[in-house]
Amino acid sequence: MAIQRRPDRGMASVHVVSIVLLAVSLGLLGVSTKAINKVPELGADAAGSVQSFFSSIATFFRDTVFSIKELANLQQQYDQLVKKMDEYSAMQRDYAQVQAENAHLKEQLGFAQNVSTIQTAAQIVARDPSNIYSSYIINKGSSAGVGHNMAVVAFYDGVEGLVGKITEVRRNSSVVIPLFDQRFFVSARFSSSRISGLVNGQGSEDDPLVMRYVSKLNAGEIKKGDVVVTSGLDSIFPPDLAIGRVKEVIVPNYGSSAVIYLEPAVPFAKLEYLFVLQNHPAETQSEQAQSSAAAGQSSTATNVKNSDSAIRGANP
Amino acid sequence: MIATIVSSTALVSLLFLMQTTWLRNGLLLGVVPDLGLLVILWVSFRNEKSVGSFTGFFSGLVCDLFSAAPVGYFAFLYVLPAYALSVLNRFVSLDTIWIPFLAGFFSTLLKAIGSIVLSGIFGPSVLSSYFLDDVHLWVEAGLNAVLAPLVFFLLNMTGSFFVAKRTPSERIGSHRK
Repeated sequence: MAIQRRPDRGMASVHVVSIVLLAVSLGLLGVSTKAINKVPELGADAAGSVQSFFSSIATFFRDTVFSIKELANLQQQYDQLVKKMDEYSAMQRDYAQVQAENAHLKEQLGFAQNVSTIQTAAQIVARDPSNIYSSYIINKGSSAGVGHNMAVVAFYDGVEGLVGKITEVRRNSSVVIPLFDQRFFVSARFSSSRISGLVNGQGSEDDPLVMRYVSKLNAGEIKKGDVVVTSGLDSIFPPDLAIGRVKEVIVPNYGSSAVIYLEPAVPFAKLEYLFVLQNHPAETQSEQAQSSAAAGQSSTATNVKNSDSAIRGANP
Repeated sequence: MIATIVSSTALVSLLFLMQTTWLRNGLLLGVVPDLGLLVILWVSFRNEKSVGSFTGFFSGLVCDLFSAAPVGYFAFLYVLPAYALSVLNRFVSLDTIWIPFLAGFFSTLLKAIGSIVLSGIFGPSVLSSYFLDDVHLWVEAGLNAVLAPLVFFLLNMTGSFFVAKRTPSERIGSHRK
């Protein structure tokens, strides 16, 4: 490592140009964080297409190489599937009857049809190039009916778990901001006790999610392993999508609310396919908000309203 | 100079594409090395004038396209190390291992500090940033440091393709000094 001082050729221009470029970057940043939501769609769409192309090359090689190994497993799987088919054909006979009975009971109980509707299935083709942001690029865009702020879910172990929401829509690709991102907030509640709070991420898929604005008075009811789901009270996510399970409950000495750490319901590192849900109708939420307020859940309702305003502030 | 900036930016863009697709699950603990940054560092080291800063700026804009970050974010973060290396190349000669290693490590930290400053200016709800106590930052710095000598070696083999030719007036000026 040799240290020497070289002639001062054009150093003034290096200083000036670099400082100007830094200022321009700051200016662009100021504009893009306030006025312009994102880059022109044409450039972003081209980027998405190129990423899809690169991803397809990797998929091609992976599929070709692994397909040889797959052949060996196919026979074994085939035998298992034939056995399962026999079981399923028996189950199918009972299914229609159970479904009709279920619909009838729901109607009698006055429940609204509350099943989230899938807009489209999509594959993750790319992730954020940096380690600061944590977005996914999926291969479906406005041409497949994907819209801004639509909820994105994945199925894991038979559970429909929340993954994130659409933040940017291009023609043939979209950007998904995942649940563990620092800028992600979702109104949530415990599936058993119905205690409400606000969940957000810590920036890394390895770190647990954090649930805040849960009254300390209710903290005693929360146990490790309790399931947290979406409350449906914000304007984006349908109710009862699994978010995670309680990992740790911290009740601070000072402050009025507990901090709950959650283990996400879906393993983000293993995600390949996602499902974009249709927008959650706003009417349903206002009805739910009114009914929950009327039910006299005064303390939790206050938390939820606070959460909602926080969500709306964070999700313009 | 323009041709060098364009070709360097194109190479960095290609590496960003690799980072988002082929390397999307990371090399270690889910962390993706910043290969684009290493190319920007090399270009800043090997070129005189502001080629490195311009390459950092335009590459950053391309990275903003691929990322969920607002426009200008990575442009700022990549101009910082490019500027630092452009200044540093007056004092330090490029060797095979140690300078690339240190440049890769400290440039990642400089990028991290830049992101923390930006997050402080615009607010953490608007801009994400690195955290100095986050192990992922140090893993990325380590990966960049380890890979830098290899990337610099490969770029050295490209000869003068990513190095701007000096104009006759610049050559005369340098002889006079």
